[in-house]
Amino acid sequence: MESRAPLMLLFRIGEGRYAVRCTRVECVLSRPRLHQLLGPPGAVVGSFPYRDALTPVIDVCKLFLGAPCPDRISSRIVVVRASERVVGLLVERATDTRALPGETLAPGARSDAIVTGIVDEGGELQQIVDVDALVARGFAS
Amino acid sequence: MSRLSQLTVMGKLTLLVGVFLIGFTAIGAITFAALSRVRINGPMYREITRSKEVLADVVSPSLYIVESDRLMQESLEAGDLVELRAIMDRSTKLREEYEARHRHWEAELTDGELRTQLLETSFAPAERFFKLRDEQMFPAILAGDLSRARELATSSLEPLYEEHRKAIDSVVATATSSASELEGRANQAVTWTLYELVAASLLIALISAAAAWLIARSLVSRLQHASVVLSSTATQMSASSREQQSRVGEQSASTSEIAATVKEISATSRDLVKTAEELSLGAARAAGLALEGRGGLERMDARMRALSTSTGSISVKLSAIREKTNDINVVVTTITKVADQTNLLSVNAAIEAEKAGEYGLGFLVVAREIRRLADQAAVATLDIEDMVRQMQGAVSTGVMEMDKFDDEVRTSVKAVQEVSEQLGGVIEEVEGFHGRFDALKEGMRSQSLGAEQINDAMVSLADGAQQTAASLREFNAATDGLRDVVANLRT
Repeated sequence: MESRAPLMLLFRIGEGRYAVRCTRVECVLSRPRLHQLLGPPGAVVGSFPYRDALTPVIDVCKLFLGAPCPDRISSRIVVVRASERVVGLLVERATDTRALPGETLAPGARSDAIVTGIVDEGGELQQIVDVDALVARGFAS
Repeated sequence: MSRLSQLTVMGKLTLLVGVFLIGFTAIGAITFAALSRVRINGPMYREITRSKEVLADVVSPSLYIVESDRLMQESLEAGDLVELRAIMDRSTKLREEYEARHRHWEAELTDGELRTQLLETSFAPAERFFKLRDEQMFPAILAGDLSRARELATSSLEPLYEEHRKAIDSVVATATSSASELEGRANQAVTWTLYELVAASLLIALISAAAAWLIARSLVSRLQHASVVLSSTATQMSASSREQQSRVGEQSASTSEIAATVKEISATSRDLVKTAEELSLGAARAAGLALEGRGGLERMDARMRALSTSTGSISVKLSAIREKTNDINVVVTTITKVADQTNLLSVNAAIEAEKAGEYGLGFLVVAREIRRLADQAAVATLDIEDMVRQMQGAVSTGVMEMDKFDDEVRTSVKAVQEVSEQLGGVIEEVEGFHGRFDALKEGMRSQSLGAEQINDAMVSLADGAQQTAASLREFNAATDGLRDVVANLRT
């Protein structure tokens, strides 16, 4: 179990490749119709019904790039649980899972850093994203 | 005189004849008048007077009471009453005759010595004689008182008769003298008439001569004037004919020049005719080419129309293809969706397998395989999507290009039609040119012909000019002759 590398859900924000631990993911959903919210905090763009509760959605593209996530089939919502809240993260190309070995600590990482580690996959860098930090950032105005 | 000179020759001659006619008429009138006065002494007059004289000698004079006196004497000697009655009847008859004659002469005679003597001096004693005889003497005889009757006859009647006879004698003398006086007057009248005739004849002769002289003089003066004018005219004619002669010479020279020019014109017009023929041929060729061009254009037009139709059908087909690609798109989208869902399922399955730990390992492999298949399908659909998108783009471009091409073809067709119409105009004009060239050619030919004719005419004109010069020389001679004649006429 210890020797085995953890399974990661891969996704992209713009040109950057990112990954989250599958154990933190509730499920992956096709992009649903979002209910608009009046004056939502941070990068929250709306909410959708998930398991009989309205779940807020953070547009990660908007959060980090300033532009909303492109309207594609591959743009999906990754439902995560962070500090007892269920939140939807809108990301690009969340279509693959992979076990990523050789994780190194991200340089200059702080306690509240979003990217916690980097995996070098033959030149391709996969950044490991901390869900809690991301959600916290997403709700922060 | 001036009025006379104004008359025409005919008028003058008529005037002369008129003067003669008037003269002769006057002479005739005077002669007639004279004859009517003088014919009293003609042979017939003489015969009549002679017979009257005889009658006067034979018949007893009624106005002379000589027979009454004789009967009065006889009554004194009468034997019986019967004889006396006859004498008295005869006497009464004589008295009636006398009184009738007296009344006749009373009405006839004019006042004068003869009337006084006959109707007063001789009548008074006669009347008294008749009265005394019828009232006293014859009643005395009838009463048988012859002595009283004789006494009355001798004392009263005879002196009365004598007085009457003397008066009658003086009447006879007066009548005789008046007759001789009348004869003398008649003779004098005849003589005067003769004088008058001679004078009238002389006067008329003089007037006629004067008129004739005047008219002749005026005629001669006119003739002289005419001869002067004629002479000057002859001179002028001579001069002008000489001038004319010289001009004819010049004209002859200029006609030669003109003839040369006309020859040149003729040659030029012939060249022109040739050029016009060439031009005409060229025009005809141009017309033919234009016709061919129009035919080509018409074929091109037809082809363009066919092309337009084809592009239309191609457009329709392209539209159909576009629709089909849309269908394909729908299918591809569906497949993509399915692939996506499959991928999603496999991702979630992998996540659940990871959460399951050691127990989920097998399932994780399956999930990975499913995801691989789904990804292949997605890649394939992505390829198809790309291809379809490219095809759609190509079709759209094709449709647009086709539309553009169709528009261009339409414009071309229009342009071709316009060009065809213009060519038609050109053909018409060129054909018109052809006709006009024919007319031009004809005109040139006729001009050339005309020039030749003018040339001929010039040649004949030159001949004519020479002939004219010759005749002018003759004319000069004739005017010289005329001048001589006029000179003769003037002398």
